[in-house]
Amino acid sequence: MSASILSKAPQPMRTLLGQSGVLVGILGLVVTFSFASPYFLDARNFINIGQQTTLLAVAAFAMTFIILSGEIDLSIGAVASLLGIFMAMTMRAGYPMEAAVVVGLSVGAGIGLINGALTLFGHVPSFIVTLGMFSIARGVSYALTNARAISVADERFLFLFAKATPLGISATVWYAIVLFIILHFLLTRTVFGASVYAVGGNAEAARLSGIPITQVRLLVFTLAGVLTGATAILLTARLGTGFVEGARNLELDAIAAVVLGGTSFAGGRGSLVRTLFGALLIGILNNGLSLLNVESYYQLVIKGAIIVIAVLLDRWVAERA
Amino acid sequence: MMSSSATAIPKTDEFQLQRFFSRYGIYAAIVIVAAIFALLKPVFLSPDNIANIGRQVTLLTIAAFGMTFVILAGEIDISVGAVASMASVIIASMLSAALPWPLAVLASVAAGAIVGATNALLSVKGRIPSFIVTLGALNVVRGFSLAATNASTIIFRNDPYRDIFARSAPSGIPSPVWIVAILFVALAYVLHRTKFGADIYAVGGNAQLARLAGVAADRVKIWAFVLCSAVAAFSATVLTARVGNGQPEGAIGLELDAIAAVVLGGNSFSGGRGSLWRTVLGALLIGILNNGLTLMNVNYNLQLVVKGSVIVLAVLLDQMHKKIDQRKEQYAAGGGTL
Repeated sequence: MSASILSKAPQPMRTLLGQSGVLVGILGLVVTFSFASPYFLDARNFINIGQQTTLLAVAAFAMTFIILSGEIDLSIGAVASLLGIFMAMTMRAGYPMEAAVVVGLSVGAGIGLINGALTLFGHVPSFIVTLGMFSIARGVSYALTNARAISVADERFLFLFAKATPLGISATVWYAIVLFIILHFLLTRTVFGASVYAVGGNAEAARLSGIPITQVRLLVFTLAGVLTGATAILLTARLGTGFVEGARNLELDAIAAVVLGGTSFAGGRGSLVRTLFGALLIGILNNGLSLLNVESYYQLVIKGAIIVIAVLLDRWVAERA
Repeated sequence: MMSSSATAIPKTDEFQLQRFFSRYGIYAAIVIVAAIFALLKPVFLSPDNIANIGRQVTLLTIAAFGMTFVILAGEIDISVGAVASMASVIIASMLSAALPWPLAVLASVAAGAIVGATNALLSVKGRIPSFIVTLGALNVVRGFSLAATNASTIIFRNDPYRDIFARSAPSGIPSPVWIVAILFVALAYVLHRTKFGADIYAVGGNAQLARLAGVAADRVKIWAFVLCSAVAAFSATVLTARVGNGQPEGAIGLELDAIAAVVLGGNSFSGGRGSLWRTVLGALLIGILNNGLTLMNVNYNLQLVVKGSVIVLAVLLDQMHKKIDQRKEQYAAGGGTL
């Protein structure tokens, strides 16, 4: 039915709808939820949605770079939890929060680099490499904490990355916005960004046209590692603890956000704007279903169904456009 | 920078050593790991412990059998753990309602097959990557299992069922091991002796070529998905008999271990190359590692670390030999400059 609407719509409108069917999904959800629940349109609820979406959005930014370059990373959730534990331990040992932030970002970069090196130089599929890393990160997290949460000792850390509310908006949201702007610039306005698309679209063609594909891919993995570190910072500040299960299944939600936005799972086609919308869709869905007191079990069912339906629709619209 | 043209060509005997490792590396790994455990903990080789390993490894092996078909066909299924959990809930619910066990087993496998068919149609006909489809299925199936049970464990009492699938041991071998053996023979026959099996290799190796050669690629992939989910559901028959209850999240994460077993055995992750026997070896290596490390009181956490490292290492070694094989072929073809 959306095809017939599309074919009658003027060209720019058609392009917009065709490119971001996810926008239609978001609008549909907003309308439905605002009729179904009096609290949904409340300003405070929007702040809630923003807060709930940011963590997922930042992790999904990392996943966007990885997927655009034609790879996958299953270790993001486990690594983010591990980095959170590292940071909480650093602060507990009496180091200032700056040290903890450096630890989180640099260890994240290191892990991303290892993932990348094993994938690229070892010729092991990234699915397998990051599956192994997932297992390792979880194991180390358990071993370090015995499954106990390690509370963050530094109030400054909690304030700066979670509790502060400049202009009434949570610090977490601000960080996500700043990251989005920087990363969007990186992806759309730099040679590196163009190379990411080229490598993911057709690596062989990219190589023949002189793009250093190995460096580009390695950089993508490292960047994803740094962003996983950023996710860990925001996560740890919000939870107030470093915890093994802190970011459980985050990688799957991040993949869902990227794909829901309409970024091609095969690489080379997509954008961070799409990912932002994908994350927002999941955030609004979770929020609305909770407001409507839908049991968490059925939220899983609905989320799963929407992932598949969205991709199916996207494919369908793309074919008729 | 990009080309590896400067790399020296390995000598022929080095090639053969590599080929030997590629073919028998997994045997060597199993023997070496087993030998280390046996030296450190003599009880490792006791008949009781060997029976234990067999019992512990069945669930994983059965699920990995199904995964082998999907991976060989060039696809992936990450809903296996959720499907097995669902099957376990179905069996436990039906048995607690005093229904006969064969009916419960049949219903659970049928439910699994239905999930598999849905995955298959969405992925093959809807042309959605199987990772995404089965990610969706994982959420849906898990959500339904949790909702149906209210996230609680379902207890039942049915001794004949548990005797057949968990306890009784003809000739001292635990019954789950017999079940795996029978399933192996049946599935290996399908994979290695039928046209469907040959088609799976063709489709996984190069779907386009297979289509041109007249293979009904879509149908082959669809049946691979159905088989995978049905077999995953059947693994729950053994699991449920062993633990004596049905848990809505009892087998969550099974898919990752199954993928690990398939790849550890040396099956190509991109499809088209491998065998069911290799999967058995991969699962056995994981089982021996888990058992031996537990015997040595290495806690579960570090076992995760070891398992993760072994998976990556094994595939790394496998890829190294493959690359050298490729270079040798190029060289033999008269490329000269490598």
